[in-house]
Amino acid sequence: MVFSSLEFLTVFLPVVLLLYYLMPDKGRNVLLLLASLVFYAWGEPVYIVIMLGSIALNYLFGLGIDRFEQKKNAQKAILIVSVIVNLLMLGVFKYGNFVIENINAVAHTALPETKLSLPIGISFFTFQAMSYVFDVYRKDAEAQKNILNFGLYISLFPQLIAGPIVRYKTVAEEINHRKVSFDLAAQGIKRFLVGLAKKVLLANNIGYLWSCLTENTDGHLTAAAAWLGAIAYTFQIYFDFSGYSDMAIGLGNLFGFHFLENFNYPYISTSITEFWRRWHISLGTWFKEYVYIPLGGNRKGKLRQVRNILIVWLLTGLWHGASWNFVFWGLYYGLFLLLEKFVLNRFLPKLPSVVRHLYTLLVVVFGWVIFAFDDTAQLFAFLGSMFGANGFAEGDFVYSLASNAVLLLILLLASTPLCASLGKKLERECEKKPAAFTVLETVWYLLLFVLSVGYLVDSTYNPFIYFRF
Amino acid sequence: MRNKIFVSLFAVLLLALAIANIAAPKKEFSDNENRSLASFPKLTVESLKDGSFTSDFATYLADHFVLRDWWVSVKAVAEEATGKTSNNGVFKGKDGYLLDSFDEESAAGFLANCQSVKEFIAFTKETYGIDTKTIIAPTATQILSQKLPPFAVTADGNALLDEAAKELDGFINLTPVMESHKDEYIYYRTDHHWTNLGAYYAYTEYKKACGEQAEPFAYWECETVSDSFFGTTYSRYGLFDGRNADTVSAPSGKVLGNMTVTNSKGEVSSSIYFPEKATGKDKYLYFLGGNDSLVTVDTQAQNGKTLLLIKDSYANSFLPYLIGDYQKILLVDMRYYMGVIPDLIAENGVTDILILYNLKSFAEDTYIQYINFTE
Repeated sequence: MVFSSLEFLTVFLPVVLLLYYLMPDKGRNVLLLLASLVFYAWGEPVYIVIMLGSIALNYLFGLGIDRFEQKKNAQKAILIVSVIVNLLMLGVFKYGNFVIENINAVAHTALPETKLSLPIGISFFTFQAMSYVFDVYRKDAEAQKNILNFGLYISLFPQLIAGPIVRYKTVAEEINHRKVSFDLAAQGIKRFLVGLAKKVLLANNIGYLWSCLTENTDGHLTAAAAWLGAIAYTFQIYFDFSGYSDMAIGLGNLFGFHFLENFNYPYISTSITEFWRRWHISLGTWFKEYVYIPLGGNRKGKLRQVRNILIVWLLTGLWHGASWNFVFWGLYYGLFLLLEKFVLNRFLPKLPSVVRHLYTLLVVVFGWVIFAFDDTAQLFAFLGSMFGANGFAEGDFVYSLASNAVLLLILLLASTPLCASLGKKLERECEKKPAAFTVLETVWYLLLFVLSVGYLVDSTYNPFIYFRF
Repeated sequence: MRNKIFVSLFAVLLLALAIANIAAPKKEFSDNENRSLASFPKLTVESLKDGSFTSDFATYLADHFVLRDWWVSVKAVAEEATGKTSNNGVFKGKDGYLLDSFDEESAAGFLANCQSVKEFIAFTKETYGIDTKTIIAPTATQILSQKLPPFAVTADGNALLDEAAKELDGFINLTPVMESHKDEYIYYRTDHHWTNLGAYYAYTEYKKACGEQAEPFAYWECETVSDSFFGTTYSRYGLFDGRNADTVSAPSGKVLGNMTVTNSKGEVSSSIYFPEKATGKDKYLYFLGGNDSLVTVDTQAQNGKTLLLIKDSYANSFLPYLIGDYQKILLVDMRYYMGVIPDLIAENGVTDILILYNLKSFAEDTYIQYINFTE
């Protein structure tokens, strides 16, 4: 199930919320666990066993590390086994066919491909499970003794299928003790509705433009249309993914959880380094905590640091999908980060912010183009189009631009903190009339809700980009 | 306190929506959208495992969503408000015209279908000595292109029809005649069909191609069937503002005379008109009651001529004009017809053949290739 669907909004969520708030504290975790399993099984009825297996194994790993408290070597052995098991599971389901394809291509063999499809959310829940074992090993958190509670952590439906990747230590406390309140619920509803609107009203609509431009064209577009497409995709992926994170955080609040932020207006960045501090923060943190720092980070000389950065970005790319373009995309960012660290940082800060901003956005837009095409021929055709291989502009570009101009303007404004600060300003202005502000605010969120449901009822286009990870 | 009210409001809203969805009476057919709505999916182990239950449930829920039309119009209003000039593949044109889109993707199958027809024409000529005629009718999107919103892009229908004219013997290109009458009411504003007047101009061209002359339009004493028709493009555009209703008219039944109409189920009636449909939503169904695999019309004409009309729904309002010209007319819709066309020709002693589609349905059609199948 996805959040931006009528079955979630008008069947699953009302039922689960109602039961949850009626349920005494003791039963809430079990209820939420059951709800999460139903949520997952709704879209992935067979592969739910994979997730249940992951829950059981990682629960045992945690217990094992806890039991051998005095024996460092045994703990280390369990940790290594757990990493191998988790990566193997991810490897078989996510990268199996990719590996076979490449072996076949290089060695001219004809190994048959597996018939396995990618279980929804496996990249997310596997990374969460790994963070748990790491955290227990490092004594950042206590082992979870109750398998139901541990199952809840892995399967918790708000962040199950598209993140944010919640590290165990950030919610360990709230798994056992958390409180709901009207204040938190109100905050959660607002956050959820903002996310829903970002996804349904913004991402889907601009994504429709991107798919209109790229489908049936094999990447052969006029330069103007190709740039419009690349910009459309850049907006789509941000509003799609950050919308999902907003919904996850909002839902978390409704059930008493506090998840960490996953996005912080990435497109206002003035360097690539800054961009990655603002984009998919939970993934960046995960790699930093569990890969970069254990590898030695920047503490063992420049050479080791370069190696570590490249490893992290190779893995980051690969995490996004079993395809070469994701590998290129990861390394592309790795190289820009190195370039900034060792060269550009001497010059960039002296440049006007407009130039820095433009530079960042260009790198990001080209990054998304690499990201968008897993077919290399299509990728190069599209890049060619961006540089005018198929002429500059045609009539259909004008129509696409004209009919999306207002939407693009909204997307542009919504990519900045402007709306949030306007809201705050309005609240200050209305300080003497809090009722007026409440009315305004309520109308605004009602509007978001009604529009989103309207678009969902009459929707033909509602993909989730981050679903394949 | 503020938050208490806020949370309560949304809780009530969400629950009300959930309950209303369960409690609201379910319709099997959407009049506004002119389509059957999804029925509740069967729950089996198989359908759960392969995910078809959940995806069918999603369709069911969207189809039967409480106040569905209202929600759909919310989207249409929002799209208009943000400067979009099309919604769900329908352009909002000038003068109240809602014009069906026709893009390169739709046009892609045109040439392949032309080849099927070309083969068929050669076959009927060789086997039966019949000169098959073909009409691929331009749609409003092409003829009324000056009514399209600014910058709207469509596939080049004229070029496709020129291509067909080159490829097909006996092709009747309607573009000139429709162009010359484009200021008249030849296409519905809210539906993708032509009006009885548009069909009449097509008929005059058909008669010319047969070496005859059509009676003047007044001869048919056309009568208004309904003046409150909101058609398919209205449904898909989704604004439901109740404006620019169309008028459906048809040649008078008196002029057409008695006839025997037999449908594919063997049901017999005495008219090609279905007055009860004129009170329903899709008033174009007044003509023939809709599409059927094979309909036979036996007329009072005693000229021994039998017409095989291979067609889409554009032919339904064209048919009345043909009644006086043929003793028997066989209407075949390839989308539903399972029989063998050469057998049908032989069994009925067909003397004339006309293929009649509109440009969009012809280009998008995937069944027309079966006209050449011999078993």
